[in-house]
Amino acid sequence: MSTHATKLKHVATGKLVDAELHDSLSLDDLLDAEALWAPAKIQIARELLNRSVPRSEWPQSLHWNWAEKAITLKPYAPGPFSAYRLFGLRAEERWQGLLLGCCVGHPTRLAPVGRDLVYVEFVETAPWNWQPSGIGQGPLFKGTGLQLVELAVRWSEDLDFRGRVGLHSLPQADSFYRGACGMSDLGPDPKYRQLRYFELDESHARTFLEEN
Amino acid sequence: MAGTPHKPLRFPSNRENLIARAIAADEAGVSVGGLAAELGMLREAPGAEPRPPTSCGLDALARLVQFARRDHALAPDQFASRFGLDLRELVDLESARNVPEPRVLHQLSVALKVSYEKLLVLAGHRVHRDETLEREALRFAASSRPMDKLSKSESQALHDFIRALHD
Repeated sequence: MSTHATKLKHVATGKLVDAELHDSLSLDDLLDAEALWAPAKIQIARELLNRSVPRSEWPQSLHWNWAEKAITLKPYAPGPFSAYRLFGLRAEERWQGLLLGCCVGHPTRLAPVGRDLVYVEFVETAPWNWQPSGIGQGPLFKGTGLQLVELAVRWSEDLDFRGRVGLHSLPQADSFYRGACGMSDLGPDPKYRQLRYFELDESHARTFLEEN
Repeated sequence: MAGTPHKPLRFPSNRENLIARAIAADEAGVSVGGLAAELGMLREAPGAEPRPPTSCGLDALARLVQFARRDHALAPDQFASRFGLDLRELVDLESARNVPEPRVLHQLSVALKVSYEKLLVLAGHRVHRDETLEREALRFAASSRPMDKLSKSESQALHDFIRALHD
């Protein structure tokens, strides 16, 4: 595993804080993050319920429980020789966000069609970095999401996939992938419960990494 | 690539612009659901406005299924098997845990010989103001405690409600 120094913004103070990008984590790290994140998710759920926030406004990944899915996650286990690779961003000795990428089985849908890409299976930020509506919680840190996507783009480059990345976004994240990440929106995918499929092509990957 | 060890990622010496963009980005939501979809963790169509069930529609549905099963003197797995439901679907129905899919309601309507349309209304799939149905559903939902065998009054409540669910 290697790490790379980076920064996040501590929202309350407005200051930049030191953080680390990690590029080869294990399934245990995902479960460690879940152990840390679950109580914070429960607290958010409690607040949402107490304040009668409509269910449609709840964070759409609030009910995910990776520990419960540990056995079914085994085939997706990242490792040195796996097609899966788990990345993370850490600050203040806690995981602030994780991204699981896969480098096989998901050909490009944009031109050039049928090429390899890095498919993002999963992205999640720590619950204290969410901004759930209706309970007055702001994020603790900002800057996690885009830097996680950057890791997927850089892995794609390392694999000679030229930065091509694809993913299925949850609806609350569509604008992030369409706007901040500059990915193309290819619409709802019936094979993925109508989640919208987004793809970053080679040209936009260069723009993303600001290498033009 | 699979089969070869991952190399450490390479980063440029200066990422300040990218970090600044990351901090400026609206990160109200960044979650990606590919793996969650593959593992069946998306319980309902994400982003779809939840359909509001009638005030006590799901409770009435739950009670209807509980009573009907007990009236048939069937264990949950036997009831599910006889009427073409998954056991999980039956358990969800009886516990009013989720809004049942239309297919499940259709199976139920066939099993109990009641109106599919009215079950859709009860579950919130159809918005249709029916005060009589709402009143009957409320009365029925509040009519019993779980017991192995239906009491006479529960049996009466079940048959009254089934009558209300006919077309």
